[in-house]
Amino acid sequence: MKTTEIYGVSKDRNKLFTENPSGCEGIKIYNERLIKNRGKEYRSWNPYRSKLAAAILNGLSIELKPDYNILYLGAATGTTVSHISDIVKNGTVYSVESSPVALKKLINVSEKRRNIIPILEDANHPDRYYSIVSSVDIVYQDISQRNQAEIFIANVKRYLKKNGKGLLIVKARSIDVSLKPKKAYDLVCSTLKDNGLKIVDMIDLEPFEKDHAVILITY
Amino acid sequence: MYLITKWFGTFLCDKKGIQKKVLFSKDEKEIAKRLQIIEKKEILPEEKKITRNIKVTVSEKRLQKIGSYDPDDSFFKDFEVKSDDFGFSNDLLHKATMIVAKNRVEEKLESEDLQVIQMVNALDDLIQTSNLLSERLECWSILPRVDKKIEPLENTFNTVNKEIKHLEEQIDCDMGKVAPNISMLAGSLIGARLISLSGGLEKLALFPASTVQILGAEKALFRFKKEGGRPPKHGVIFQHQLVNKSPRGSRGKIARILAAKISIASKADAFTKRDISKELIHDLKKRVDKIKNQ
Repeated sequence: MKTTEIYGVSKDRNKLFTENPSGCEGIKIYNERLIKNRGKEYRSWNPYRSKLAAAILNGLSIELKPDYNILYLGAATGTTVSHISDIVKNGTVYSVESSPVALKKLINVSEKRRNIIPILEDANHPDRYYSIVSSVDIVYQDISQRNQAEIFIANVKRYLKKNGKGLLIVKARSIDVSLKPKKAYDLVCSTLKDNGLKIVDMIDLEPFEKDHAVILITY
Repeated sequence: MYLITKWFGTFLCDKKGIQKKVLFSKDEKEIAKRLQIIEKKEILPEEKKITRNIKVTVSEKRLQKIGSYDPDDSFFKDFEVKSDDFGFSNDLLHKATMIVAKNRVEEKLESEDLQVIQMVNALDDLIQTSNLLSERLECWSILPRVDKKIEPLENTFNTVNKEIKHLEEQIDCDMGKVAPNISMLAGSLIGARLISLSGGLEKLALFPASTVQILGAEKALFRFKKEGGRPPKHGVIFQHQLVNKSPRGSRGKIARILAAKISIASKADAFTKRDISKELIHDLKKRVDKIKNQ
């Protein structure tokens, strides 16, 4: 197993791994594989389940540090959140999710991982979690809504630190099913640019996800 | 002056720094209590006290009553109150938000319409099972009858059918409580299906009538959007007698009117809880008659 250029992410052949923190040994979140290597336990990171893993395998380069604070919008049941929580050991993952059913599972994940802050709110209204969330180093959003770009912009403007990074997962079919994916991505990119966000990179998630792309921005 | 409330306290600040502050006690339950008030969009007593006779700018809509709301003011972006500076750890925040999130999830999951959704889905599963079993029994009954082999399957089939009846009654009864207007107008089963497809009564109430009209016809709708052709005229409301017993030419129009009335009914069920079913049924009849007489 080798470390990659992204902090906290290891690679063995084509598979990604993150280190299972102490206190969580032997615990699986979504039936992923656990591997022991030099006395440490690693959890395999499935790119078909987690779009961030897919993006990293497709060449995403982003700086992560153990004390980063991350705002994660659309946390769902905590598959990706758990891996981010492994990486930012001393930081915080503010996990916003609007579905109570999904959040119930995320709460179980947070039980052992104290750097996850579960928030049951609608990301359309960044106001509503202002008293909980502090300014963050990364805003990550994976929400399949038609207005996903607007949600992202509102949250980036409100919570992202100066020169912080933002990751937006775009689901082309949520923007407009009748558009070609490439056109939908361009539409989102131009909305982001019009609102003063700088686009650093865009990565297609094929073959792991169909019609999805990750846009890396800075603000 | 700016008012900033964080989970560990409320602060009056200006460009020179924090001018006045009230810190909350370092106890997760106390913090959770305040987060719950904030979540209900109410104003904390501490916030009222600290802003008395002072003009403030705020960045939360919740605080509009005690200050002018301007979230884009650059002050809120540049100035940050850090929990570490006051000895509040993130572990405390974790504990408090876990209490809040757990309570809130339980509260949301308690609502009756979620039970209705599960019941309707279970009903569909059972109907599917019943059909499968009846096909198998049909094939099997051609062979010479060996009782001990076929009997258990027949018993299961009967149990499934009984359970279907039972569930239908239960849905009818529950829908009368959850969504009386929709039930009276469209029938409890169609109403329950609509709630299930939209993911909840409140979500259904927030949909436009045109969406209600084609709920359940998503496949046809997206085929139309992607490949062209003709758009669907009705989704699950096709199961309503007014739609499926009408001549083909007027089904679309009737579906549109029915959907419009269901949409109004759902708003009454979700928000005002008034009984307006009589007026709606009256309106519906009038308009349907008009179409039929054209």
